Amino acid sequence: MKRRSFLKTALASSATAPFLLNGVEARATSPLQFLAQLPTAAEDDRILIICQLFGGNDGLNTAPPVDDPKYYEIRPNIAVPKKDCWNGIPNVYLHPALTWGDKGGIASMLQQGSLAVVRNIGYPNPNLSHFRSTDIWLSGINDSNVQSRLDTGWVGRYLSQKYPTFPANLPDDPLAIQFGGFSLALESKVGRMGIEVSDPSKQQGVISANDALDDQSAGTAYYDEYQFVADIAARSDKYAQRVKTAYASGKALLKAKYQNDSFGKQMANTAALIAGGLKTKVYVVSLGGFDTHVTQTYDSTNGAHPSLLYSFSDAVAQFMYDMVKLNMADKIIGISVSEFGRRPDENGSFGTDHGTASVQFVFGTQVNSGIFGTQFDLTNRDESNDLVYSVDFRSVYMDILMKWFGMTIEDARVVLKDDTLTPISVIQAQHDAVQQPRMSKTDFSITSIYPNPFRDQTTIVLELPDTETVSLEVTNLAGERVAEVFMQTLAAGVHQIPISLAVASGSYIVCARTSKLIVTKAIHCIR
Amino acid sequence: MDRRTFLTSWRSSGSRFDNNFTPLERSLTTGLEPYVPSVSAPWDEIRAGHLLRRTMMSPKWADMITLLDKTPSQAVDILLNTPSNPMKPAVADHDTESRAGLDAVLVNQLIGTWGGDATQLREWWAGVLLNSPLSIIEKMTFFWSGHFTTQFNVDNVDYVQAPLLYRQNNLLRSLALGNIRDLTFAITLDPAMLVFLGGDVNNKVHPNENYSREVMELFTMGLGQYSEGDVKEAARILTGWHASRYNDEPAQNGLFNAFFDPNAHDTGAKQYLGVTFSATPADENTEFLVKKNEVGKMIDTIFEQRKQAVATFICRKIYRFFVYSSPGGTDETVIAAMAQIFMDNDFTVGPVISKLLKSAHFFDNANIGAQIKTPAEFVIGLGRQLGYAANVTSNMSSMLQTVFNPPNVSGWTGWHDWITTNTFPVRASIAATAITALSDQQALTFIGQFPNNNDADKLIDAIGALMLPRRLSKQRHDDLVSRIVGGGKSYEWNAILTTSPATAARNLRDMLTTLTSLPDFQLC
Repeated sequence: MKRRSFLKTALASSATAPFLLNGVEARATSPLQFLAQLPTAAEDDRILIICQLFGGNDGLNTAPPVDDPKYYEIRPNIAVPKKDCWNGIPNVYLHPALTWGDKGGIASMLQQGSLAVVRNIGYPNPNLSHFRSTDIWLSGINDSNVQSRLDTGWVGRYLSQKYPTFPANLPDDPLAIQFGGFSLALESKVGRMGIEVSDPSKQQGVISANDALDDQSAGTAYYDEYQFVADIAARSDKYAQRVKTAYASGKALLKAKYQNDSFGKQMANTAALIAGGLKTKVYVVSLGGFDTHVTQTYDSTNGAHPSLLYSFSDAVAQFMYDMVKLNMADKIIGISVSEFGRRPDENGSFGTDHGTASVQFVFGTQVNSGIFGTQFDLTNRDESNDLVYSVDFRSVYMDILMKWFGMTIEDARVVLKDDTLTPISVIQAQHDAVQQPRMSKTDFSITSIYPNPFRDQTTIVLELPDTETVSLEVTNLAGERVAEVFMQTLAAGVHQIPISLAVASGSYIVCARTSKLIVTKAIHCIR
Repeated sequence: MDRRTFLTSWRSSGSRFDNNFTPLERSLTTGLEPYVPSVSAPWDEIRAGHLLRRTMMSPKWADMITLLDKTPSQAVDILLNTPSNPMKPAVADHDTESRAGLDAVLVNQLIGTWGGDATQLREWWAGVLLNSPLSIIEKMTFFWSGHFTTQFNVDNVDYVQAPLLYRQNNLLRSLALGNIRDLTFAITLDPAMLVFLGGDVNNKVHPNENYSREVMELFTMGLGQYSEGDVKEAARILTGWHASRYNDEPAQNGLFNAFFDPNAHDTGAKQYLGVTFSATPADENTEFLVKKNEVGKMIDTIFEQRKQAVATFICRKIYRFFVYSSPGGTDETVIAAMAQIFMDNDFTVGPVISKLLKSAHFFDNANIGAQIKTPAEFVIGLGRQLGYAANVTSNMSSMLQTVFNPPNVSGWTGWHDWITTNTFPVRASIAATAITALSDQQALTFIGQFPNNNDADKLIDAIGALMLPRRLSKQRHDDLVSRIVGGGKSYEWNAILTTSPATAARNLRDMLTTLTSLPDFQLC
């Protein structure tokens, strides 16, 4: 959609529709305010943070299914006791390590409305190899032929499409920054789309090459590798000073207290570079050690896995604190990626072996804060006795490519090389982002929608903790309303709401709002 | 042309930097037939240097001269047949107590001790590599250490102590060119490996699948050759083994060795890769018999049931290490031929390496200089060529290669991962430090090793042949000559060298600073 027509649609709907209820938390209700805030959400300013949790994070202990007695049966030594879990939202339990630290960790972000927890995330035909599964997650391609090489990343493919003359024309600021080693996520067919940084205060450049290749080298691998090395030199030379300068000015603006561990430093460095005005679009940070075969915990809430969760959660919470203070939070989202979860049953070494479905976090003020995906079902296992996923991780990538990076569904599918993918609405539709009140704690949810996909009728199941005025509407993936279902007051409890929709085939978002919360779920119409 | 202009000038259409770029299709016409020197592929400093760069940590000039005196085949035989028997370091037998029962302060002290021991062991091996005789053994050991990996620091949860790492390193060295089925069997019960991949805690009640998966995925056959059921069954086969690593625990086979606990072993029948392992009767549940009938049989099963896959998987890795990191196209034919030799020799790897290194393919012009130097090759190479031996292991670590502590169980990814905007400048500054450290006397000794060193053109060509993988182009030759004569004419060199040695040394350092930051100095 062109910006002009998008504005018209947005303004028209805000003038006529009861977007905000009860007059509470009414922010940016006037078209003028809305316009004034638009530039902050401009697509080119948006930043994505990818947090790689290498080794396979144990989803079951991250968001434990504490009401399922089976959980305690199969994990007699390492299950997290219900009494120790965070339970700031009814029916939602998180590992206590996610609350540790002076900012309350990412659990407090869930309470404040800036965290989506996607449960049971995975992909079909799971591969239990660290390396293959990491490649699948970072490439965004689930190719079950293990002989096929996954050599480009989903972000790399997106960036190389958006910047077709890269790297012959290097942008003023690096397109992407990777801390530490190198991530497949940023690789494209024209090479890596970013630069690698260790300590941004000491970023160096190298000026290399004063003479070239002789005739003998034409068409050889030597020629290719020489060019690769020379290109890295050119990039290091171009960006070293820029990175140092941005870091120095940004660091002075930070207020949060990051841990002095590797992940804390990486998040602090990311915060400083963003605060310092670097126009980099994607940052990749990583935390290893999640391969917890042995001694994952030494008592219920301490040990290797809890300290990893703490490192991650505290650094993210510190980072968001800085970004909110600096008024930059609305242009940042972050995701965690980990190649798989762990086997539900513990092994004999106080640990867990490789498994399948896990938990993913999506953070930022622009996410649809809440719980996505189904509860882990410990009785429904695959042939390897592993969990069966309910959300394909690529549906989160789809949402990022479409809502955050402004791609059409067709283009996003091209990036992910799969024309059957649909998004899961973890991110708020960006045109009305500024109008939405921040979430607060509740267990208001769309429990399910069935049938889905549907032809012309489907039923939405809503669950309400208290009596609430609820408005229900359906939007397309661009966020334009295609149907207003109703607005009425509903009692606490479960409600089944049948709806008829005369819409074209495709994906839509069901959006339910109360005074406190907006929840969304994707539906798919097939005609 | 200034440096910056140059940097963009070679970006022509169809190169890597064109969005229509498609990766190079490898289409070499050479195979494993013996390399026969010819006018177009002479046995000269370039090819002798190529052989040394790939089989050792960078050549010394004297090594090149030695090999040029032989035929290529004789040269390879020297490298294969010269043993390497390094002296045992003191830290190899440093026994410590376990953590059990110690308070936090003492535990931290103990972990500090283990870390210090690991550093000493690392420096020991760096020294061995630096001073290696004319032999492939240390490079080959390096290859296996990146294949049958073990990390000293296991995610800050456990630590594989230096005495165990030393013994594993020695095992890899002893079978570096030997039978890889035997090596796989030995590594399966190697104490360092038992600790690293959970074998030490693998018991019949709750088997630990860590090693049973990696031995198939990463060490032998690769993905797609086994089922998740095979992972589970192998874990059961491998239950019951422990490593003795502390002086305050019983060590029934002696300290730093593996031993068997029959009570932790799953004696039930197993199905593994289509082969039935019948239940082990109680009287056969002994160390000797389980080692033979279960562990030995499991490794034999891998090499029999997945013979072709194992041969191909390991040979591809050898190819990537010795020839080119990103094989494709016609390279697959060469890898298949290597795999056949491997199988024909009952998985003894020496004949495969010999055939490969003596082949026309290995010496093909297209393969010379096509590898990216590892941090080890870069740092130890500077030591071997310029005599700079300070901070070897910490310099390697600053470029993300720490021996005895690879990033994860799959070892180092290598290839393009070795050059980033972070590590390339680190390379340049390490080289600059090494060059600055060259005293005038050392610089003159360096110059003195080359024949006709009073002729600037010949000197630069010789230094180029020693330090860069391919012959210098005319333009580069002229630039480096101009630097060594301090911007003057090449004929002035003789006068500088004889009348002003300090100037000669300074000019050499200046020339080397340029040379070591070139893209092709990062290649080998």
